[in-house]
Amino acid sequence: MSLKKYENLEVLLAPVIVLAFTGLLAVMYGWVGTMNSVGAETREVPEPAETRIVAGTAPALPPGDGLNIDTGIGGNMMQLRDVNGNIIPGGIGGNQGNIQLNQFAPMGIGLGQMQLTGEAPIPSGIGNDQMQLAAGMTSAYLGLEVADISGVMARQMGLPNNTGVMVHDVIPGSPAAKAGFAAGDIILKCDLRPVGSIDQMAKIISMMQPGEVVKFAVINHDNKRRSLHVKLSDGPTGIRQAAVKKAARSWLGLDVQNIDLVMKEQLGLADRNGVIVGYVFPDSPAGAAGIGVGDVLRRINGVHITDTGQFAKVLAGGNGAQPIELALIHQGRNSVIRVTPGRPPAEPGATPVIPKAEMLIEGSWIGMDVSELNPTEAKESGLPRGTRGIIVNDVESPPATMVGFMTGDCITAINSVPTPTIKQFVQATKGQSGAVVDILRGNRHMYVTVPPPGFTQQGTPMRQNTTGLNQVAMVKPAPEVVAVLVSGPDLNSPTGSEQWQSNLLLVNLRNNSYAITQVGQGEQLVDALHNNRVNTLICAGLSQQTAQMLTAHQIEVYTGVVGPALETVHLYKAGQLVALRLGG
Amino acid sequence: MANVKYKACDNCFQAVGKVNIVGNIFMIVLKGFLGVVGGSKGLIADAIHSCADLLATIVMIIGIKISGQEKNERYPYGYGKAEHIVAIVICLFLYVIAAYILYDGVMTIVEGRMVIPCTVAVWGAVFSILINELMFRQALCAGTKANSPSMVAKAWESRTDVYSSIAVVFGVIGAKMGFHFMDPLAAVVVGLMIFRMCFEMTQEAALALLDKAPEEASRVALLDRFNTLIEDIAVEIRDVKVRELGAILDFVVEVKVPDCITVQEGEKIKQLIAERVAGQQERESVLTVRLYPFENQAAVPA
Repeated sequence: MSLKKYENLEVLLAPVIVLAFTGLLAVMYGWVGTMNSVGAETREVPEPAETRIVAGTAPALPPGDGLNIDTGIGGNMMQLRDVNGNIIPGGIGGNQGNIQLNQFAPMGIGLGQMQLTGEAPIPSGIGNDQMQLAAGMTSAYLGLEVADISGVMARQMGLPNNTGVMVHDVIPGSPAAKAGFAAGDIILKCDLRPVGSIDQMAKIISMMQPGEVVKFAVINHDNKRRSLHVKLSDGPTGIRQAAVKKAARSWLGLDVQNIDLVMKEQLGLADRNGVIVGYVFPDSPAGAAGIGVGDVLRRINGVHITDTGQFAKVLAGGNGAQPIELALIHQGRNSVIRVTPGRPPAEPGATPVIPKAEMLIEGSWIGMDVSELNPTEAKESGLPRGTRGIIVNDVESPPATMVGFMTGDCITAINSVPTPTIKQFVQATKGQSGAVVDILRGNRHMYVTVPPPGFTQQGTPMRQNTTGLNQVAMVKPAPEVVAVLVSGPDLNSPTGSEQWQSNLLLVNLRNNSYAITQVGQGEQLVDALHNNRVNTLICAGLSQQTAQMLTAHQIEVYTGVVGPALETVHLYKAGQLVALRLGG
Repeated sequence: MANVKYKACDNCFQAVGKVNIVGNIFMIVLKGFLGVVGGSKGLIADAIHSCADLLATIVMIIGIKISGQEKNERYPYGYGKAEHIVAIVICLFLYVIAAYILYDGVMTIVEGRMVIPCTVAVWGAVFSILINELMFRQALCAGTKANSPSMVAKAWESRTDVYSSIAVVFGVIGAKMGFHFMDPLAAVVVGLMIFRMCFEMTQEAALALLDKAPEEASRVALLDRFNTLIEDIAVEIRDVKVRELGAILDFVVEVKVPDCITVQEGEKIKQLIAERVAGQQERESVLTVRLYPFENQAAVPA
């Protein structure tokens, strides 16, 4: 009898195992859609960045001025900085050519990381700067504000994906306006070539000279195909003002940030959908509606928010005067509110924080020197009255340089634990792996995520020594050596600019070796490159003078490239970088 | 039964079942793994579909094993029908899974969640299509050579499994082209296929429990066939009833005999018919022969 029982057991075991496995698969099946965690990012195609003006005016960098684009790694906020260290929040109205920046534009490391995945066909983020620089070489002026067409919009309009760019606005009196462009038109072809993104179009226009006639194939709002001819002109001086005025539309008065894995864990969020509010402007529509710091915005007018870029896009797509319906998680509860966007007040311009030389360094954390903020400093720094926290005196090395800390940031809390004194700060950072840090920067609150060691903010493990490169003390001078200006002494440091960084990464592409040396500015840099017979330089920013000197030495320059140094070398090898062209 | 030309073909014929099981397990693991790693809902659903296939095969094997057990006092007719009960229980489970796949797939589409699978998912589906096709070719060849129409029919039937993998290929490629709803849509299609398969399995099992005559044996055809088998004997088959006891076919044959024969002669006829008929059956069969005297002479004297 017992034998028989065993026989039956054996017979029944097979289906039970298969059924269990089926159940397991079903669980996995459910996860695949919702699980946005490890590795999921690598599968998602990054959305291209924001609305901006396709047209260049004068060269972007006036000679001698030493103006420098600092893409303010991290935080999705881009800031413009001139040599005096003035921070111009929002980046609007600076003396910066005609780059229009949206406050929510995902710039900096966010996109740098997307680049890491190698899926972006065009180096976005950096690409933007590069395009601007490339476009800056010509003074052709079109006068169109265009936006990429998102997948959802394309479907609604019955367009194939990656087809066309949308005319967001036409600057009155511009060549485009004269040719008959209207807002809402969709540009299918530019100069007989199909365009699928702003970048493609920018590339085409940047090759043009004022006076040339460009033919556009356009679908207008009646859904009819038309072709328009635009005679490019020299850019008017008023263009920047127009851009600023346009950006002012649909202003909610809040800063949003993407939610990464560490934030999700530390702030106890259910998932990573939506964007988190980092700062609410006083007297803003958002503030009046009761939105607070730490709220998670989930839907806008019924559209799911996936990231800051998409949020800005949806917001910009709306009519400025119409109330917007926002579904959000406020203090752990779901709620829906209606907000009517307003116009932003004139920016007062935050007071810069200049670290003093005699400042005592009281501690260090993840590669930065910190000290306790004393009340008088707080007042000088323009921080809100009564602020207590830890001030960042110097951001020296990764990971601090990678995650987006800046000198002058005031750390007020780590993982929602307040850090008013250095003692509490040390306590909070002890044994820390993965932290969401509340900081005040230029009078605004924002979150900075510190990933656990060896991981990115998205929770993906960082590639450890899979670079295929060997470090050597010195790279032999050779023509196949590529030089990169880096902000830190290792391969994963972000690219640096001439004015701020003094490390030079030399990579010999032939025998896969690399060396890191110190280097000065200007002529010193040129000499260092020349001595090493380097004919390619990749960097984040460069002064006009140095650029001219380098070009005179037949050195190819790729500037405006932001991201981990190694990745930029890979992009260079893949031929995805656009070289700087001077003169013309 | 293996009246084949080559010994190799016989081996091949015997191996069809094993190949089917091993192939299915391999496909499940491959698709499950690539589906999870590649993040494709469709491919995971397809792996579940293969699981359902494997379960159907396992149910069949259980049927053979159980019905092979000796009849005993408590179960004088054996355990033949246990297979169908197992099949129904497993199907109930699969219904739940299929419903979940459908629900989750539809919700993914409705909510507009982004499922962007990796290209490895396509390879999973493509491999699965290839394996399926190879298995089909083998079963078809072996079935033809061994003259087994049921195996040929089964081979054709299992070929339809390939549709789910094809749907997955379309889903993943579609998602890659930017139609993010395509992958969950493929999952929904696969879910519907699992539903259909379960429904057929349940139906078959339920009808078998009701002693429905098997598909391949209609009464008239059987009558004709059996009568030609026993042409040389001076008797006529009046009626044939057949039902399935698991893998075994249970025939009841009613034969008209002259009422003047002796019991001994009658037993001889029974034996003869049983031998002839059972020897011609493809599946394992049990035959019960009942004798009835000619009707005109059989009128029982009042």
